[in-house]
Amino acid sequence: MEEDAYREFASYFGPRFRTFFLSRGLPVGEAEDLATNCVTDVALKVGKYDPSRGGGHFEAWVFTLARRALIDWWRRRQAAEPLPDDLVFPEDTDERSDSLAEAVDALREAFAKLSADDQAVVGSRDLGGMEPYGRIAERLGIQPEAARVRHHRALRRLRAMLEPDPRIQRLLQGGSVA
Amino acid sequence: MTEKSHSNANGGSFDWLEAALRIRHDLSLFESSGPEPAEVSAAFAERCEAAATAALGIARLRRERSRLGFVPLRLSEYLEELARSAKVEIHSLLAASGIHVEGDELGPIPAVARFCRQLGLSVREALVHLGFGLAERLGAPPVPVVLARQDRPGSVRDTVGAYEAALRGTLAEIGATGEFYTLEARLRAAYEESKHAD
Repeated sequence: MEEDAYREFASYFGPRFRTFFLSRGLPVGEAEDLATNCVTDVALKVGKYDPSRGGGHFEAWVFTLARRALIDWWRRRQAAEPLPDDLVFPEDTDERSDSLAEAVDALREAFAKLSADDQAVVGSRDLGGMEPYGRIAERLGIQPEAARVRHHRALRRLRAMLEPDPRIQRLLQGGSVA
Repeated sequence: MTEKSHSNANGGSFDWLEAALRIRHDLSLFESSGPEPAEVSAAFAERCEAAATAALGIARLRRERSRLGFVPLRLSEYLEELARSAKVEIHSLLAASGIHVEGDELGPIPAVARFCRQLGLSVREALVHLGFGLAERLGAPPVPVVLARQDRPGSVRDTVGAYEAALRGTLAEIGATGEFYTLEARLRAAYEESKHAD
């Protein structure tokens, strides 16, 4: 039974770790090494998972650990280069990981309140791999410039919904607000 | 995006919404409702399965280690004892963890440190286990003699600190303090580097 659970964990998350690391620009060999390390490390930490923290999503908890592994990798291998903004945000501690999960929930909820067209454009542009405006425009039956404007406006609406949200405020606390 | 109202750890300004959207996108890769991960090779699938088997073996060793606590043995001997009690095949587990065994010596230090950390050993415990091996290789009296040094009235024999002190004393007597410092520095650095492994 115990063996089955470990195997199931590996077959579900192993390819996801790999995809995540590849999407962040790691070479295949390094992405696979880091992914297999994560399978071992995260499986060993499952006992520490607390569903009452961080929104209670197991996948979000696993993602947080994979993100930390990526940050460590980056610091070791790319020491001369600054971390990408989304990796230094928020500062990586257990407490901040909770606020990260909460903020992602807030984002998910705000995104669901956008119109279908706004969701489509933000989804394609920001959540689905930077799709070019031309392709989004084609799908929506509008001009590329109109897609760009719609994207800009949708982000403004999203920002307006999220900025006053206490979950986002908690996440931003600790960062220096200009 | 125009409203870059926060500064990042790199000292520049950044857009929190852009960063949050990227995080949301990355998280979706882990969710069953998210995009399917890219197809993986059979070799990678096998490596994942081996990593899961290693995790299971380490979890069993860790339980045994937590039951047994610190025992003043060389690291290789200690791991073999844990494995025997936990019914874990130690050599394949060490190999899967990137650890080479040459005689009684385990290496490289980064892989050993990561493994010890996964088992729940403190850096001090790991250092003492490795130090016993170093002392023997350098011709110092073997572990039982080191232990005998602790058998003074009032000595505390059940702490790692007491064994560490005896070990340092023994190594100093044979002029091997420098080797021990080098080992300690390398081990501490490797422990720090593997801080997310435990």
